[in-house]
Amino acid sequence: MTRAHVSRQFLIQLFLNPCLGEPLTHSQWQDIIFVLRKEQLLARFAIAFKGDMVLSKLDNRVQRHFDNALKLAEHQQKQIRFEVKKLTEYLSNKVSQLVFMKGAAYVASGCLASMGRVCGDIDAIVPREDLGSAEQSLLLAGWYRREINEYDDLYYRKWAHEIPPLTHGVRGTVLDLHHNIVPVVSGRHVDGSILMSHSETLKSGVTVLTEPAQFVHSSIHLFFNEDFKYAFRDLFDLYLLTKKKDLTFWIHVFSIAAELNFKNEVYYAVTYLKACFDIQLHSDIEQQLSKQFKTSVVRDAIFLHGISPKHDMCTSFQQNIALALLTVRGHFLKMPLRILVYHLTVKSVRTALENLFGKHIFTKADKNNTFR
Amino acid sequence: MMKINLSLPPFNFEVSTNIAHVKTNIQNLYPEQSLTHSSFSDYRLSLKNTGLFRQFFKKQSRFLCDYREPFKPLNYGQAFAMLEWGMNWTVASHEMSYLMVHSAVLAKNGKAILFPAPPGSGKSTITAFLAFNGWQLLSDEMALINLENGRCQPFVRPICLKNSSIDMVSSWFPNASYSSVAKDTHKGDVIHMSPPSQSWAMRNEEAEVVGIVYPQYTKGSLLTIEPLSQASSFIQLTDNAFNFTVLGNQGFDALTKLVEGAQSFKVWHSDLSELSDFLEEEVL
Repeated sequence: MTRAHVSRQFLIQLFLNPCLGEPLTHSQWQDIIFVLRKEQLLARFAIAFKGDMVLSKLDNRVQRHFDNALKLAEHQQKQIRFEVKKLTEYLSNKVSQLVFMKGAAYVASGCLASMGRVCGDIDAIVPREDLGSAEQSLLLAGWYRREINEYDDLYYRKWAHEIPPLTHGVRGTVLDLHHNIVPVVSGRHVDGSILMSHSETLKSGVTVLTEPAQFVHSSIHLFFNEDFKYAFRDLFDLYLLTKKKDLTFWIHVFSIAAELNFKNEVYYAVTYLKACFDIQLHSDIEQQLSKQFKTSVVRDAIFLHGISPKHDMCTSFQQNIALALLTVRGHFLKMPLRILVYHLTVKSVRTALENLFGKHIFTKADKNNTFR
Repeated sequence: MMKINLSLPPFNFEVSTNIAHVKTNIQNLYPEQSLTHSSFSDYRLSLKNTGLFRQFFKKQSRFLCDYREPFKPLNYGQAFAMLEWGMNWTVASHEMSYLMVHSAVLAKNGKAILFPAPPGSGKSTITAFLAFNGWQLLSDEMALINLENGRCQPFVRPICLKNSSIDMVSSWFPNASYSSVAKDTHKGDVIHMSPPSQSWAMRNEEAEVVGIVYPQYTKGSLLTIEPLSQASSFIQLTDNAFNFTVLGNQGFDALTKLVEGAQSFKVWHSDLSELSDFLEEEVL
């Protein structure tokens, strides 16, 4: 059975031209919904379909899934806007700066990338010297550290650029508090304050990265990483961030990328947005890019697999290999070799045990014998 | 992995499992017409026993809704119960086209009564009793209220019985179809019971909600009925309505209409026939 209807190329075309959905069969829609739900894109596509008046022409059964996703996303976005405001108010006299990034920032600012965006957690960055007091204050305000095993806790504090996630005790919101955008141990980080200087305060009082800085940060997050789980969704975010943007936007993007020393990642983002979404750039920019960067067919093949949807309906042997290579690459990028060896040894022993004895062997059992 | 299609209006599930007793229980409890293949599954669920060595000792079962795993693993023997709970979780987490109220719903002649009740109130025993005494079972766990017309859409599934109610109900209705017992779950011992064929036959028939009854089983008590004001009933229902906040204004309006169109009562009972008589005479 051909799976063309759930391929990266078709889904992107479907998003850009919703009328392509009209001749699809029930069974094809079923598959598309499964893939979009996994990739967290159901609500985003629902808005695209509504905009093109395609949604109401679809079968009720199909429509219902898109409507459900839309309602859930709208509700969640209200919660996110409430949460970021509350955090800003609460931490206002405890940190010198609190800047929101990624999904929470898109939603807070209402920019084009907020379209149907659902966020698993809220990402924010504070100056490193304020991180300790921010964490302590949040613990006092009803946020708690989820129980993580000692090894992961050590990893976070010693090597990473963020503290272990904090969860609100009543509302269940999860907050990822960073002091930098890549792990300190990678050697690739520059001072967190450089990124934070590219921020703006919205009417609501909440501070987010500026749109060019969002693009740079999201490119780094996508391409300087070992985890491509939400890469397909992240690619759409990047596309939406560039929509209707002029030359000034791009000049800022490349200048911030240079300041942060992550020009390659932005180059990759632009390359794949051109390949997948056919975005158009000013000829000056194109010239600069072709002068500074080399193309690579092998790199493109691997990355294109990385940013494609990963449901078992559309995956392939080649994609699995590409993802494995990207995982290795991602680890190497973020850690020097000797630390990486230690980290991977611990992780692989744990994974082997999980494979033999079941995935949840390291999961703590609930105390009153509820589950397990 | 075995694949089974479950057509359970208004939803279709595709269930994959490598656990034999899950398949056996499905075949025992769900009628032929529920096992038909459809071209459109709403959700793909799986019940898996995993782990190379773990398969041989302290076996577990894991529930997944496509790629999401919302629960920690349970003991192998609890796999079928886990599927039933998993289906409830799936619907409650994704479906926003109905107002969903945590309650049992039963109807007679197209007129339905909601029984919202916390665990331990005797709701499932009432449900089993009424279902096998001429009432149509719409659901034992969640009422699906149509947002357009305010009627209740059936979602017919096996009734979940717990602990002491298992022996009691199986002694009343020994000829019904029961699942294997899931021992020592977080709800205690649990068994599922297939409702009568009349309920399955009416699984597509919406019913008008005429009563909202909050039951409380109290041993030895006389049947005591307290009418509730619409406002009190509304407040209680907001606690029991899963997706009330997500639905916003639509949810508020639907709940208002529901409460305005029905009589609400709090009932203390110890005799189910008395309760049934009251429901038929006064509420329907």
